[in-house]
Amino acid sequence: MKNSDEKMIENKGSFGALLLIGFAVLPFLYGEGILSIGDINMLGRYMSFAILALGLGLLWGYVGILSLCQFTFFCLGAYAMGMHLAHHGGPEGIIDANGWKIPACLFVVYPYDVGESSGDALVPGFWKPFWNLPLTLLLGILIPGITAFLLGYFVFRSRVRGVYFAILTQAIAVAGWLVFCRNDVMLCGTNGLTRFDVIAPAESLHTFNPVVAKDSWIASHGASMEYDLNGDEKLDQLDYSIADVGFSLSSERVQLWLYWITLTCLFGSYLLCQWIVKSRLGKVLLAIRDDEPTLHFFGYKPHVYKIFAFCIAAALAGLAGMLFVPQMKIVTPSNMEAYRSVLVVVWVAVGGRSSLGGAVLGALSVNLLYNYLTSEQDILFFKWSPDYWPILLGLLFIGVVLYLPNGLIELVDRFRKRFSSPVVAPNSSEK
Amino acid sequence: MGFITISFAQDEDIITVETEGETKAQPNGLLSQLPILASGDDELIAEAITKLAKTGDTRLENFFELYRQGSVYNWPTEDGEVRIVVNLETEMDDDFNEFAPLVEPITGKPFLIGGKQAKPDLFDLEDISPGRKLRSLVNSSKFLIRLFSPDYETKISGVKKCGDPPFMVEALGSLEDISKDPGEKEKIRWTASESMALIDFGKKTEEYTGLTGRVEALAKLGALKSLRALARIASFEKEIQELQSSGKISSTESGSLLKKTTSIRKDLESHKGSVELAGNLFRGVSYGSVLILIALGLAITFGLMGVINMAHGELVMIGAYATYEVQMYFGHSPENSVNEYYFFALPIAFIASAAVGLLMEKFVVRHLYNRPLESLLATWGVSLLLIQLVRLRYGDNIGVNAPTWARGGYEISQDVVLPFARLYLLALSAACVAFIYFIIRKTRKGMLIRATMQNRDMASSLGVRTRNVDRFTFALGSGIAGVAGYGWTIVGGVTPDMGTKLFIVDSFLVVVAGGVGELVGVLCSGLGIGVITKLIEPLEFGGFTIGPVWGKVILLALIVAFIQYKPAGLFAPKGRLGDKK
Amino acid sequence: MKKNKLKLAIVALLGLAFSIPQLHAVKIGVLHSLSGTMAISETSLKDVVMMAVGEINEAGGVLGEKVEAVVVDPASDWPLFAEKAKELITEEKVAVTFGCWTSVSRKSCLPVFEEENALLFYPVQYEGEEQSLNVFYTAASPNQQLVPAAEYMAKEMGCKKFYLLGTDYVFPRTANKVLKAYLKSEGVPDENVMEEYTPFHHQDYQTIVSKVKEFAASGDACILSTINGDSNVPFYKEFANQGLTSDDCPIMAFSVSEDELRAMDVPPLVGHLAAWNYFQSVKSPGNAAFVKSFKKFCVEAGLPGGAKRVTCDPIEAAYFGVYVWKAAVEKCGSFDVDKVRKAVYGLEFDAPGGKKSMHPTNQHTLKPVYIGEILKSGQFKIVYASDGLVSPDSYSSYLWPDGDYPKPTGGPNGDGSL
Repeated sequence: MKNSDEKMIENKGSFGALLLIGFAVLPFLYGEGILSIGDINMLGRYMSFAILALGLGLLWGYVGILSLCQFTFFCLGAYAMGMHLAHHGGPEGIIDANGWKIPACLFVVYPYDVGESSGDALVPGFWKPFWNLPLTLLLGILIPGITAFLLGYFVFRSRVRGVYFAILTQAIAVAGWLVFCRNDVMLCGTNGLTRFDVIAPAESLHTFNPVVAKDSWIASHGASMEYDLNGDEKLDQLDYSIADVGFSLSSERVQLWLYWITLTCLFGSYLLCQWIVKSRLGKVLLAIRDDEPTLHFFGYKPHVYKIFAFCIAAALAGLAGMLFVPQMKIVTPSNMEAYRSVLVVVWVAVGGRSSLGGAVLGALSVNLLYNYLTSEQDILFFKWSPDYWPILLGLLFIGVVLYLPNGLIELVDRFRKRFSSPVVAPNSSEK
Repeated sequence: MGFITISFAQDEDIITVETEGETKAQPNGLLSQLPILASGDDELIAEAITKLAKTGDTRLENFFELYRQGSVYNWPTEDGEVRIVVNLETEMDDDFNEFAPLVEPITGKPFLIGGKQAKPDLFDLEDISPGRKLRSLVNSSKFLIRLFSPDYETKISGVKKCGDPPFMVEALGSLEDISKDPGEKEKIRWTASESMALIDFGKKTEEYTGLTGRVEALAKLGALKSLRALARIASFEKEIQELQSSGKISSTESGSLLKKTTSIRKDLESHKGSVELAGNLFRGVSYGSVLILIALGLAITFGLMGVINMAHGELVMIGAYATYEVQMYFGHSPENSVNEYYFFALPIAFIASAAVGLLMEKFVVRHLYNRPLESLLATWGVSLLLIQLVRLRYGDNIGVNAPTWARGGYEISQDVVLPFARLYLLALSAACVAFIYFIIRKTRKGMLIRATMQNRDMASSLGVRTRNVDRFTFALGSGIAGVAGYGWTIVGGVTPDMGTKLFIVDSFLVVVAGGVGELVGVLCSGLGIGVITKLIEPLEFGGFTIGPVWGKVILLALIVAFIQYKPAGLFAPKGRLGDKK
Repeated sequence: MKKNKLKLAIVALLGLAFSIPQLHAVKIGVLHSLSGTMAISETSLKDVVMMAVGEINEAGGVLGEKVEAVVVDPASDWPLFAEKAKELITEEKVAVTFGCWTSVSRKSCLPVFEEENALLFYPVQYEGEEQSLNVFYTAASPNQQLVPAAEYMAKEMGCKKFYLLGTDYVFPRTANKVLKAYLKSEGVPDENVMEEYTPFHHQDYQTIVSKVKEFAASGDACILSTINGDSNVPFYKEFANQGLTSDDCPIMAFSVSEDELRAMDVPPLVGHLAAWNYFQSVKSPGNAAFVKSFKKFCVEAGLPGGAKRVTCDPIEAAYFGVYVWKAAVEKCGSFDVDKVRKAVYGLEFDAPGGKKSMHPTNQHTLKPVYIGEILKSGQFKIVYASDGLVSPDSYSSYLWPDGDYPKPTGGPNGDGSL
C-alpha cells in the first residue's frame, strides 16, 4: 500500500497522442469507411469507461484510497440517464392514471400488491425528476457525488483505511447490486432499463411534466384525430410521446455526436484531474498517500481531502455512466456486480496507476483486448478459440504485475525516453 | 391368463419363486388381478386395485408407485395376450440405440425371455397408465400398503400421509394397531396417534358425529403438540363461524368451541415459536460454520501473510473438484453408494488445493509480499486462469453426490431437526479451527510462522528460513480453502466460477470484520454474521418479510456500520499489517 | 481432452485451408456465452447448434451452400452481447444468429438486431411481454408452461396451498404474476399462496426450507419453483436434508431440466416435477435419433461429459431453430432476412420432440406441454401431455386483460410493420 518511492509519471505526450488519435485519426478512418459506426460507438463506450478509470486513477494513484465500488457510482449516473431515456422511450408501455407514461421495461416488472391490477400502476415519484434532461444531467452527477460524500464523511472520519476501506466499499457494491436487482424498488429488476428511442426531446429541456408537454403539443398541433399516432382513436399521452421527436439514438449522426461528447468529456475530466494533482491540493493528496499521520500532525485534516477526492471520483463515475447509457441503449444491475468494480482496478493497474494517462490507457486497452479475444480470430496459422481468452487475460495481469509494476504506461514512457534522451527509465518501485 | 403362460417361458428359478411367493399363498391374489389393469374399464380396474391393496403385500408399494407414474405397460404377445411388465428407464447400447429393459411388476426382477432380460423396442409397449380418478386411488393405496412396510422410513411416511388430506379413514384400524404396538419405534407410534387424531379432526362435519368430536380430536392433537394440526385450525375456526352465521349452531355453542380452539392454538403457537427459535439459532450457527470454513484459509493467507488473495475462492473450488474426482475414482453414485470416498476426499482436497497454492506462491505471490494491493491484481489473474482451465477440463454440469448418510437429520427434540449434513459441516469447521490453532500455537513450525509474520528481518537473522515458512504458510491456507470446498459439496453445488460468485466477498468480509490476523476474530465474526443473518431473515413487519435479499442488504449495512465503529475489526491486528498502518 | 482440443484445432485449420477456395458458404452467428456464469448452460446450446450445422452440411448445405458457423463468446457479460451481435451482423455479415439464454442478454442485443434488421433465434423459455419482428422465440412463452403446470398441481395432485418460490429477476416475477392470477381465478384464497424470492446465486436455503416445512405441514401444499441456475442444487439438497420428500410437498420446477439434474443428488428428488415442452424421454422416432446423434456428437467432439450428456428443452429448441431457418430459406429460396421472416410464419416442421409449427404472426412457436416426474436416473417420466399443440401468447392475457396488446417492434421499417 505504501509506495512513497513511486515516481508519478507524467505523460502529457502520450495523452496528447491519444487525443490526436481520438479526435482526428478515428473520425478520419470512419470517414474513409475503414471503421464502421459500430466501432466508433464501441470506442465511445470504452472512453466512458476511461472516464471512470480516470476517477479511480486519481483516487488510488494519488491519494492511495482503493475503492471497490466505482461501478456502483457509475450505475447511479447510468440509471439517472436511463430513466430519462425510458421516459421518452419507444411506443410500448401504458399511460397511468396521472397521465405519465409507464415505460415498457417498468410495466413488465411492475410489482403490484395483492388486489391491484395493471390499471393501478403509477409511475413512481422518484422517476419524475428525470423527465427533464438538464435536471437529469445534474442529478446524474450529484447523486453519486452526494452518496460518496455521505459515505466518505462517516468512513474517513472514523479513519477506516487501506484494505478495510476496500472491503467496505466492496460490501457496498454488493448491497447496491442486490437492491437494484429487486423488482420492488421499481428500477426494472435484472432486465434493467431498456427500449430507449430518442435523447433530449425538445419538450424535456424546459418542462418537468409530460402532461404539460402534451397540452402544449396539442395546443400547437390542434386536437384533430390526424395526430392519433398510435391509432387508438383518442388523442393521448402515447400519441404525444411518439410525436415528440428528439435525436434518434439509432441514427449514425447522433452516435457520432455522442462519441464527440464522450471524447470531450474525457479530455475535460483529464484536465480537471491534472489540474487537481498539479495544484497545492494535489501535493496534499500525495502526502496523504505517502504519510498520512505526519500530515495529520502538521495540522491538516486528511479526511476532508480524502472526502473531496472520493466525491470527485464518484462524480466522474456518474458522468461516465450517463455517457455510457445512450451509447449502450441498456443499463442493467449486472454492471454493479462486485467483480466489475474490481475490473476497474484492473484497468488502472494494467495501464499504470502512477499516471492519469495510465488509467485511460488501461481502460481502453484491456477493453479492446477483451473485445478482440472473445471472438474467433485467425492469427497467422493459429485459430484463436474464444474459450481461451480468460487464460490469456489472466496471464497478462500476472505478467503486468510481475514485470511492469507501473503498468503499460511505463512501456510508453521508456519508449519515449529512449528517443528523447538517453536516460534509462527509473526502476520500478520494489522496496 | 396371459401372465402365467409367459411365466413358463422363463427361467426355472423365477417360476419357483413365483409359485412360492404369490401363487401358493394367494392363489387368486396378486397375479390374477394384474391383467385387469390392461382392460381399459375403469370400474374393473378400480376394483382390482382395491383388492390388491387389501392384500397388504409390501412389494405392491413399489408397484403402485410405478403404476401411478405410468411405468407399467402391457406388452402383448403375438397372440394378443396381456403381459403386464414394468419399464422404468430406457437403455442405450454403445451405438446409442434405445431399448426398454423390462422387469417383473411385483418382484422387480428382470423379465426374462429365454434366459435373457427382455429388451423390446419402446414402441412395442402399450401404455396402460391410470387416468386422473384412478391415479388418486392408486396413490392412497400406495400409502396404505406402506403401513405394513418393514422399512422405517417407508413406514413412517405411510403413517404420516394417512393423516393428510384426503384423510384415509380406512387406515384408522391399522394406525391404531401401530400406535399400540410396543415393538414399534416411539416416533412411529407417536405419528400414528397424530395421524389418527388428524383423520378424526379432518372429517367433514356432515359425515361425522359433529363438531364436538372434532374439537376432542383437536384437543388430542394439542396434547401431542402437533404442528400439522396448527396449519388446519384457522380454517376450522372459519368453518365454525360460518356455521354460526348460517344459523346451524348457536352463538354460545360456537363461542365455547372457539374458546377451546383458541387455547389449543395458543399452545401450539408457543410450541411453534420455540421450535422456530431453536431452529433459527441452529441455522445461524450452521451458516456461521460454513462462513468460518470458507474464510479460515483466507484468514491465514490474507490475515497472517497480508496477501490479498482474490483466487481464494478458486482454491475452494479446486477442493470441490478434487472431491468430485475422488468420487469418480471410487465410483460412488447415489444408486450405488461407496460412502468411504467422502473420507478419502478430505486429505485429497487438502493436498490438491495446497499444491495449487504452492505453485501460486512460487510463481506469483512471492514477488508481491511487499505490495499487497498488487497481489490483488495478480491473484485476480490467477483466478481467471484457474476458472477457465477447470471449465475447459470439466466444462459441464457435474455434481458431487453426497454420501448417503448425509440425507435426513437428527430430531433433537420434537420438530427440531438437525440435518446430518449440517452437523457434519459444523464438526468439520470446528476440527479445522482446532487444527489451525494447534499448528500455529503448539508446534515449532507454528512458532516460526508467528515469528516470521511478526518480524521477518529479525526472524531471518535468527536463522529462520523465511522462504520456507512463507511457502508452508501459504500452502496451509490454500489447503484449508480446499477443505472448505470439500465440505461445501455436501450442501451446495459445484461450478467453475463458484469461488468468484459465492465465496470471495463473504470470506473477505468475515476476515475483515473479525480483525485481520486473528483466528479468534474469524471465529467470532463468522458465527456472529451467521446467527444475525438467520435471525433477521425470517422477521416480519406488518406483512413485509425481510427475506434473504433484504436480510443480506441489512447485514452488509450492519458490517459497514460496524467497521466505522471498530475500524480494525473485532480483534485488532497484531500481524504484519498491524505494525505497518 | 487436451488432445481432442488439439485435434479439433488441426481439423479446423485443415478445414479452413480447404474451405478457402470454396467461397460458397453462408455464415451464421452463434452467440452463446462460453465463459462466465452462464457458460455452464449456454455451452450445450452452442454445441447442439454446431451439431445441426454439421448435419446440414453433410446433407448438402442450404440452397447448395455450405453453412459456416461463426462462434463468438459474449462471456456472460450483457453489454458484450450487443457488441458481439453487432460484430456478427456488420463485420461477419451473418445471415442469421442463434443465441442468448437470459432475458437480459436478449434485451441487451435486441436494439442491435432491430437497427440492423437482422434475425435472432432465441431458444429459452422466458417471461413473454415481447414481440420483436427480428426475433423468433423457439421456446415456451408463459402460457405454454406455467398455467398447465399449476393446473396439474391443483387438479391432478390435489394441492390446495401454493408456495411460489423464485430467484428475484424478471422471469420468476412475471411467471408468479401469471400464476397468482390463475390461482385466484381458480378460487384459491390469498392466504394459501405464499411468494418468496431469493437473490441470484443464493446458497443458504435453510430458513426458506423450514418455512416450506411449516407451510406444508397440512399435507396439501406444493412449491411452484422458478429458482434459477446454481441456486437449485443447494435448494434441493437442503429440501432433502430437512427430511422433506415429494410426498410431503411436491416441487413443480420451471427451470430444472435433465441437464441441471446431472449436477444433483437425484434419489431424494424422485417424484418432484418439472414442466417443459420437451423431455429427453419423449417417445418419438425423431427423438430417439436426435438423442443418439447428440450423444455421438458429444463423444466424437470430445466434449466434457461425453456420452453422459443429455438433451433437454433448450437444447431441442436451439437445435430445431437451425432447421426452421433452413426450411424457411429453402421455402423462399433466399437468405434475405425479410423473405426468410415471411417464410417462417406458419411453418410446420418436424422437431425431435414431434411435429411443431411456428405461429403465423407472433414470432413464437406452437408447442406441446409436458409435465415430467423425476426418476432415479435423472430422467423424467412424462405424466402429462397436452392435447396437441398449445398456441403461444407473446403478451399474457393476465397482464393485458383488455386484450389491447402492444404492437410488435423492429422489422424492415423499424416500426413493427412488415
